[in-house]
Formats: sequence, C-alpha cells, structure tokens
Amino acid sequence: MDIEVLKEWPTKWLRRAHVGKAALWGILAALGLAALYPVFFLISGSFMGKDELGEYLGAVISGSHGYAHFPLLPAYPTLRHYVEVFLDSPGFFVMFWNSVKITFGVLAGQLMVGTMAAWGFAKHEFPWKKGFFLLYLILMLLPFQVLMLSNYLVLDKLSLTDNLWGIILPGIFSTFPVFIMYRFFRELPDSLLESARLDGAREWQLFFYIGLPIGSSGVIAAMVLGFLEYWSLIEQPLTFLKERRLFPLSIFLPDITSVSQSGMAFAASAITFVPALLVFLGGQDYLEQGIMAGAVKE
Amino acid sequence: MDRKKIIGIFGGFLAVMLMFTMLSRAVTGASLARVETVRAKTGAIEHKVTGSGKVEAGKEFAVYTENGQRVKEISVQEGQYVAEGELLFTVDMGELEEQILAIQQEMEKSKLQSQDAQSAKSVEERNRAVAKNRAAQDYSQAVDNGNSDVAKAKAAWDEAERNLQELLQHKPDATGDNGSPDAGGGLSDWEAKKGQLEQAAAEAKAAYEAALSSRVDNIRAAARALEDASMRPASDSTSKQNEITRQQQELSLRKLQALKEAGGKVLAPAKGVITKIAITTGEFTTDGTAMLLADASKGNRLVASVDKANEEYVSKGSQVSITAFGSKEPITKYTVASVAENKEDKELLDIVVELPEGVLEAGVRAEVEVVQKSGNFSSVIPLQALHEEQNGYYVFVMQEEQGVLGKELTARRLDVRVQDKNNMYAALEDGALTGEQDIISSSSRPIDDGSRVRVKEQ
Repeated sequence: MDIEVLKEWPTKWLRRAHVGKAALWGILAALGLAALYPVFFLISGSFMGKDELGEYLGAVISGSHGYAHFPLLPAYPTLRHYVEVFLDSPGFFVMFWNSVKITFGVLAGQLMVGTMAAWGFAKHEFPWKKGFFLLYLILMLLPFQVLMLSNYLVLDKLSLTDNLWGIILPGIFSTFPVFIMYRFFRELPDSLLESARLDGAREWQLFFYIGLPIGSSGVIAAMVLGFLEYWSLIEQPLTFLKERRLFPLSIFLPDITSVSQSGMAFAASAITFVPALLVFLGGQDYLEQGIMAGAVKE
Repeated sequence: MDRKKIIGIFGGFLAVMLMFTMLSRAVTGASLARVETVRAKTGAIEHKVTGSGKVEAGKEFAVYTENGQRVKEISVQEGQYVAEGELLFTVDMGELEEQILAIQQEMEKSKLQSQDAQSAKSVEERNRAVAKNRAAQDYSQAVDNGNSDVAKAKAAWDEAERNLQELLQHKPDATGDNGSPDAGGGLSDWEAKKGQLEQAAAEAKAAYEAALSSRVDNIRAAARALEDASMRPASDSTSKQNEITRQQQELSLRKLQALKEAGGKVLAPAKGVITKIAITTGEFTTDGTAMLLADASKGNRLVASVDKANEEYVSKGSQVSITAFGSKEPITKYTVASVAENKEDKELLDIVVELPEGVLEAGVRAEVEVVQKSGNFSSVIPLQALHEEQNGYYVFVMQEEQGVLGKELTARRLDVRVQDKNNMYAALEDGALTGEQDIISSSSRPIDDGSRVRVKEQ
C-alpha cells in the first residue's frame, strides 16, 4: 500500500499542476475574451443591419424594456454601413483628414523639436538643467484638465482657438516624448561622443549622425506612443474647436443614441481603428521599449 | 510583421481614404437638391380677373300684337338690324276677321241683355212706388182711428166718473134726521148703486187704457210697413258692368280692326336690332312680347360673368379691358358700371360695362379682364417659392452655415404671413424677409428644414 501510494504521488502532483495550469489558462482566456469583447462587438456590429441592431440595442438606445444583448456574429451581415460611411458621409472624411493633420503635424513637430530637447537634456550641461527637467516632469504629469483653462486663454490670445494649430502646437511641445527619448539618449556612452568630437565632429553632426541613429528606437517609441495618443485625442479638440469642419475623427459622433445611426457609428469606429492597429503592429517592439523607458526611474 | 509592409499598408490605406474622400463628395454633391433662388422685391400685386359675357342692348323695347293671332310669316331674324317701319311679321287675315266678327256678335248680345235688364228694372220701380203710397195711407188711417178710439174711451170714462161723483154728493143720512121711515132702506140702495158706478168707472178707465195701448201698437205697425215700403232697393251694377265689357270689346275690336286695316302686318316702331323673337310661324301669338328690339339709338352694355372668388378685386369703377370674340385689339377705356350676383348661379358675379353707341353691337360675345393693382408691398416673392400647410405659409431660405464640410448651403424654413397674392406672386408681411435673403424658388428634389442644397448652375 505504501509503495503504491508513493508511486502515485508524482503523477498526482503532475496532474494537479496540469489542472492548475489549465484553470489559470481558462481564467486568463476568460479575462482576455472579456477585454476583447468590445472589439468583437464593434466589428460584428458594423456588419449588422439596422433592424438587427435595433433588436439588440433597443433596450439601451431607444428605451425599450429588457437588457441589451449582443451576439458574436451578425445574423444577416451587410456592408451597408460601410457603404454609408464611405460614400454618403463626406463629413467622415473631413474629420479623418483632420485627424491625420493633427497626428502627423504633432509627430513631425515632435520629431524636430522633441528630439533636440531630449538630446540637450541628455548630453549637454547647462545651468538649472535639473530644475528645467523637473519642470518638464511636472508638466508631463499634470492632467489636461488642470491646464485646460490656462491653455485656452493662451490659445485665445494667440488667436489659435478654432484652428488646428491650436491642437498641433501644444502637442509639438509636449514634454512626454522628450522624456521618453531622453532616456534613450542617456544610454549613449559619453565616451563615444568624446571620441567623435576629438575626430572633429561638430555638435549637430554628433546629433544627426550618432545620436539619432543610435537613439532611433527611442524616437520611434515616442512616435508610436504619440500616434496612439493623438489619433484618439478628445479633450483638446472638444475644448478648443468649435467649428465642426475642424473636428478630428475621435469626436466624429454620429448620433449613436438612435438605432438608425448606431450601425454607421460602428462602421466609422472600425475604420478609425485601422490606422491605430497598423501603427501598433509596426511599432510593437518600440512601444514596449518606450513604455519600459518611461517606467524605469533614474 | 515586416515594418516596411506595414508602412506600405498604411500608405495604401491613406490612398484608399483619399479616393473615397473624393468619391463621397461626388456622391453627396450629386444627391444634393439643386435649388434656384430668388429675392424678395418691392412691388404691387396685380389681380387679374377674367370672364366672358355678351353685349346686351342698353335699352330694349318690345313689339307685341293682339293675343291669339296666328303668325303667318316672320320677316326678320335675331340680330338683324331693322329700320323704323320695316315689316317684322304678318298675321293670318282669315283668323283676324273671324275674331272681329266674333267680337261684334258678342257686343250685340251684350246690348240686348242690357236692354232687357233696363225694362225689368223700370217695372219693379213702379211697383215699389205703389206699395209705398199704400203704406203711407195705412199709417195716417191708423193714427186717425187710434185718436178717435182714445177720445171715445176718454169720454166714456169721464161720464162714469161724473155719475159716481154725483152719487157720492147725494148720500142719504144714516141717523134718520129727515125721519123717513124707509131711511134704512134708502142707504142700502145707495150703497148698491155706488158699487155699480164705481165698477163702471173702473171699467171705463181700463177701456181707455186699452185704447191708448192699441193706438200705439197700430201706429207702430203702420209705421214699420211704411218704412219697409220706402226702403231703397239693393244696388245693382249689372248695367255698369255691361258698359265696361262693352268698352273693352270695343277697344279690342278697334285694335283688331287697326291690324286688319294694316293688312295683318306688324312693323318696327323704331330702328333697332332684333334681340329676341318669341313667336313661331304657324303658332298663335300669346299675351307676351312677340319680339324684342335693341334700341340702336342708345348705347349697349356688356354683361360678363366672373368667378365670385374674385369678388374683392372687382368693383364699380375698375378699369376693364374688353376683347370682342374674333377681335384681337382690346378695348380698354371703359370701367365697370356695376357688380351684382348672378341670378342663376350664385358662384358667379355679373359685371356690367356701359358701352356708348357704336362700340360693340348687341349680341356680340366678348372676354373681359379687370386688373386691380394693390398698393406697394415691400416683399413680394414668386408664388412657387411660397409653401402652404395647414397652419399657414412658409418659405425656404438658403443660408450659409458652418458644417463639417465647411461652409454649407442649408435650406431653412421660415414661417411667413401672406398679405396678398395672385396666381403669380405673393406679398409677405414686412419683416419676415430681407431683400438680401435667398429664397428657394425651385428644387430638384423635396427639401426640408436643414436640408443641404446646391445652387443650380445656370
């Protein structure tokens, strides 16, 4: 009996470990699905007909009784809402290009200004450097709402409200990418720069030929993070823009409280989702590095 | 995934989005309502009222003849102009002569009847005179008889009274003063005599009273008989009536004889246009008018019917333009003389225009047009820009609005009040529209408040 018991022990342990792992997987899968559910919801909703959407969402949108429920797949898939967005909504494209302008404007500006600022903080010594950097950190940490009013007053003074530059310029000079890139440039050994200087390299040559190539992953990480941030910008446009023709896609709000518009809202959201997905796929590695860089304190 | 590939896909995505940007603009542009716009102007609203009618004679006179004549021949037609004395129609002479004879016989009969009545009347009058005389005699007789009867009765009564008084004075002494042995016997005789005399006096008095009353009765009866006899007989107008009938017959006879003398021909009493012929060849004439003639020496009048809905735009004195049927030149210098409801159709109004002699002949059909111009309105728009619904009127104004696509042209509904309108223009109440607003007058598809629109290219 004892022997048999001893023989069974390892298998029991193994089996238990196996079961535990499966359970863990199950829980994680369930959580993952829960997290992904809105995405499925979005994609399948964009292919559903109006009647179907009305049936599923009626409880939430049009005030009929019961709870909203949502199946994974549409019963009668249709491309109607995509056609509607692509062909019948010139407004959607206006906002799409507004988003493109804001995002790429900000990123291009950051590429020019932010990289240099980060390089300066990382590789140059100047009076009050620590103080300035602290100021940068504080600005980075302040939520938008805190500075909303003062931002507005400044923009108003500069006549930049109701103007895409009112969104782009503050974005260009935002401190977060500087902070990210700063960490990458810091990792560059000073000795390398010293030797380059000894070889007669000018300061701008150091930046363009040594700093940027070596710190490129940091720059790209900052750009990817920036893209995701500015592509889904909501507060700034809502606060600083009044004219609908300037609205970016992130506040393209077809009246989703009515069943007739919800399908179009789903389709528009799905299309909006595409660039963000592509950027994410392309910059996945850098994204991780960038987030890590932001997390590691000096 | 390969980064270059992803960048490629991203680029492709942007290209696709660019393409659809164009495409969606094209599609939306093509599906927008294309509109034409107008602006409110100042101006007046003209109300044009048209109708048609016929020229009628300003003064008409009737031609008629004796009732019951057979029409032998009609020599004119409606609308024909006739001079004074021109033959209008002829009646049958045989029929006419028969009628004359019949009337003459009738008159003879009446005359005989009248004579009979006269003689009967004189006999009756004589009888009445005799009866009256007799009654008068009876009356005086009754008065005389009564008086003598009363006188006799009075005399008899007086006699009886005297006898009684006499007896009362010679009453015998009841105490026996004279000592006669039969004194007691004399008193009782006296008493008995006195009773007889008293009775006789009473009877005579009664006879007298009876005579009095009888006299009254007899005289009354005789007076009544006299009264009856002298009563006037009931009035009798037979002779007068006969006289009147005779006069009428004489009149008819004279007319018929005049017609006969004219050879049965009826002539136009004055120059004019025949407007109506009410007789038919071969039929008998009636009491009514045989023919109507428009007096050519007076002007005519045009009576035209217009829709009663236009009542407020047509009034006495309104300038009227007349176009005679078949003519192109309108006559414009006359005005409406009167406006009245059409007697046959309550939905119509009759307007009358007096025309002087020689303008249009009676019987001509003509179109009339009355134009009434309102005062000046500050915003007048074409009628097609005005929309109507149950609660009132509205227009669509094109506005530039800021939308997602920038400046967009949007149709905005504006409720307005209409002051006046005709079939082309409407005048709106002041203040609703300014002269700078573009009012949508036509649209390639139905539009609503807030619809985006495009201006139609000219």
